[in-house]
Amino acid sequence: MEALDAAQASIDTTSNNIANANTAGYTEEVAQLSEDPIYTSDGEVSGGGVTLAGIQSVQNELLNVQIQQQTSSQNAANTESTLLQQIQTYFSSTGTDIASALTTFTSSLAALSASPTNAGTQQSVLSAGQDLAQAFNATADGLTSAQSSADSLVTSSVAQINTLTQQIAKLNGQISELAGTEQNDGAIEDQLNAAELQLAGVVGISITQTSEGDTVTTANGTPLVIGDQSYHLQTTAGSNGYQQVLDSNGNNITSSLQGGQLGGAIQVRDQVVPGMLSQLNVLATQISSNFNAAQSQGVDSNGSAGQAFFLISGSSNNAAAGMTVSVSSGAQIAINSADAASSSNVANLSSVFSNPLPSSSSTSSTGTATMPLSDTTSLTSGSITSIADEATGKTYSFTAGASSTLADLQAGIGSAVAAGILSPGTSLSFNANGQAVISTTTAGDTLGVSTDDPALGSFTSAGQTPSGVYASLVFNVGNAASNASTQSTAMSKTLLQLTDQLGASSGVNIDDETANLIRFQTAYEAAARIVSTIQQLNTVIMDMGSTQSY
Amino acid sequence: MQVNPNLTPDILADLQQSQTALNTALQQVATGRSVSVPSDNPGAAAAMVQNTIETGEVDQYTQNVSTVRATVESASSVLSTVTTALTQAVSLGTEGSNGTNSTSNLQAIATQVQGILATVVSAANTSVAGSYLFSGTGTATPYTADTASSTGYVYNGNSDSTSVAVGDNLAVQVNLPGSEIFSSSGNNVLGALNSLVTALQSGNATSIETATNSVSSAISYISQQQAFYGNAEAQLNSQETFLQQDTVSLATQATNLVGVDEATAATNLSEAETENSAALAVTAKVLPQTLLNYLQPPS
Repeated sequence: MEALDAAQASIDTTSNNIANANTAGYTEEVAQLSEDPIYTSDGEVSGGGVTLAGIQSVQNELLNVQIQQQTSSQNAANTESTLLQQIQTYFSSTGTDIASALTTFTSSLAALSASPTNAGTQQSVLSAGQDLAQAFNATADGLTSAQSSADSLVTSSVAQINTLTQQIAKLNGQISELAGTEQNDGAIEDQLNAAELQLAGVVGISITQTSEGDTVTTANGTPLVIGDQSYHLQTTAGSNGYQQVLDSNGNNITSSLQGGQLGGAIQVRDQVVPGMLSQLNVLATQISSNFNAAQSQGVDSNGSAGQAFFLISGSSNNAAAGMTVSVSSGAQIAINSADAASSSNVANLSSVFSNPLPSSSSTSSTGTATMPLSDTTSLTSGSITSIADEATGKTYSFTAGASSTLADLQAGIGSAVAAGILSPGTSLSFNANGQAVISTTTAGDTLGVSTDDPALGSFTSAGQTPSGVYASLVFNVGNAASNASTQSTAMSKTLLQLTDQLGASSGVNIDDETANLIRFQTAYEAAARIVSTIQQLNTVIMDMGSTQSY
Repeated sequence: MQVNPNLTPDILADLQQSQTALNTALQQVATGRSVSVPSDNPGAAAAMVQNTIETGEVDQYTQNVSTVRATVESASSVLSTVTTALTQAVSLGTEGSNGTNSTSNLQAIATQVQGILATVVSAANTSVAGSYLFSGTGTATPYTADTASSTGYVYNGNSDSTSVAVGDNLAVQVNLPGSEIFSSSGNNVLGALNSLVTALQSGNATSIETATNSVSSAISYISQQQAFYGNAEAQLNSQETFLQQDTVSLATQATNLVGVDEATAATNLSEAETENSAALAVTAKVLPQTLLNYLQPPS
């Protein structure tokens, strides 16, 4: 009878495996059989047979952990890639992008030089200028809307995390209840693994197995689940207008969250996009201030002194979004020179685009420049890594660490000045907005600020024409998008391989199960035959005792 | 080791990859571009920004060259007309100064010279496409009759000149103000003609001769001015040649950066198609294969 039970259990397990062949997260189960010892006493054999020890699921914890980690990284790269794809359409040549607008604007200025007094050419400069401002607005809006979608992803991810951690805590509780009994906990283990994998896709986690079940923390150690207790994360609007993630004690852990779609969204929202926005703002500010300066050197068709052509409304942190054309008529373009010796001012206007941008500080006199650091949000902790000296071109790069504090940066730059890396006439300070204020007493200095954020590459605006600056911005955007998507593809390959391995060790193979089914069926038939043979023998023995005569 | 029995994810990944390759190939053939978004090739996309802007500028410069060349050419031919008229005035002056003319003859010659003066003034007032050739950058009619002026005409333009951008940081001056050509203080062409008229009317042979001499020196002055326009035209022509070459090299650069070779793109597309249909065929063949296909159900 034990043999029949064992064969029956094996058949049941096999049928369960086949039934769950396509269930996500299902792990193959195997009936554990063990032989019973055989006793021989006085020539009599007793015992023997088989015992059903239980049904065990074939888990592979190492692969599970690797898959979780890889899922986190892959999801992060995937989220970044998706968001950057959204961004980079604004930098593709669509006809309404900044490159096209710059083309039209410089061409219209060249046309203006041929017929400066023609109202038509003046008007086309004006409308090309408006197009340029709108292209800047649209690109800045595109970047901001990518930030907003990343932001809403942060909120929804946190909600997902809370649901999943609650589920994990509950499953932990069930597993520890079952631990004392002989019940098969395979189904719950599978559910737990599936939930943990889902959680790893949302945020990078680290899992420790304890006697009370799995302890789940974020990569930096913030507890999410301990035993059957889950700790909820919260979101709250931060000072930059975006949702910050708080742990259960109310500490802000936003910048330390990595991996998963949450990590990817935070990276794009707080690092990548602000860097691009700030490059765009620098460009918008410089184009408008230089063009306005060229305007002010001339006299317009009405005989008035040239007035500002572009207007940046709002702070310099939103220069690209706030860029507008402030003159209302083509006659206000300063075509004539205020200086009697040279007759036309158009050449000055177009030279803004053909000459290298002077960095905000004047190249011919001493002055003070204010430039937004490419990434202000990263200046929260850590220390300065290095200060590069590119003194040959009189362009200085101040390379901040990914997480330098303002004070660190100030101290670092101060020591660089003291060490003679920077010329003594140069000084740097930082204003309340986290912008580097650079002043020089050395005539002819050009100054630039660059960032070492790997997602952005280094960015120096000094010494390049506006189109050159924009081109390097396009390069940075394209490079970031292409890196993210390459990374995402590469990781999905690895993930696929790991999943293959897991499937190889824990998956249900229909062929195997079919073969097993036949094997166990045969075993069951054999066992049943034994039972019927024994029954026949018993009948014979019983007949022996009858009074039947031969 | 057991092989992963669940082929589906691998197969789906392969199919997706093959589909992506097919889409990319199709897009390249359809658009003729290998770079549609910056991430396709960041370096090429960045270089294309410069290329687009330069191409736009070169187009505009080429347009500028052809626009202003028309102006320069008409100015040059106007000055030729002026030279012809002045030559005629000199021969009339010479005729008037030989002392054999009656007063009425001299008056008739004076009327002819006055006619020449009117021709020169109207030449100086020539306009092309609505703007005057010789008014500097001003928009008013360059010369109008003015009895108060010693020359009989007053200049209403300004002394500015137009420089047209025909290259990066390259501008060609394409006009001279009328005040420099027709009424400069050293060589006042209109003044010379006017004094010839006055001298002929007065009948004084000496002053007719002096006036005739100053008109003939005006001829050589005008031809000097004409040389300016000749220079400008030569400059425009050479710049046009350069711009044409530049257009070609920019277009070549653009093709190299973001274009696709049609033959390669077509080959890629057909390869991708073959690969995709092969992947699909394999999927259809492999997926339903299990041991069950070969087992007879127990009868």
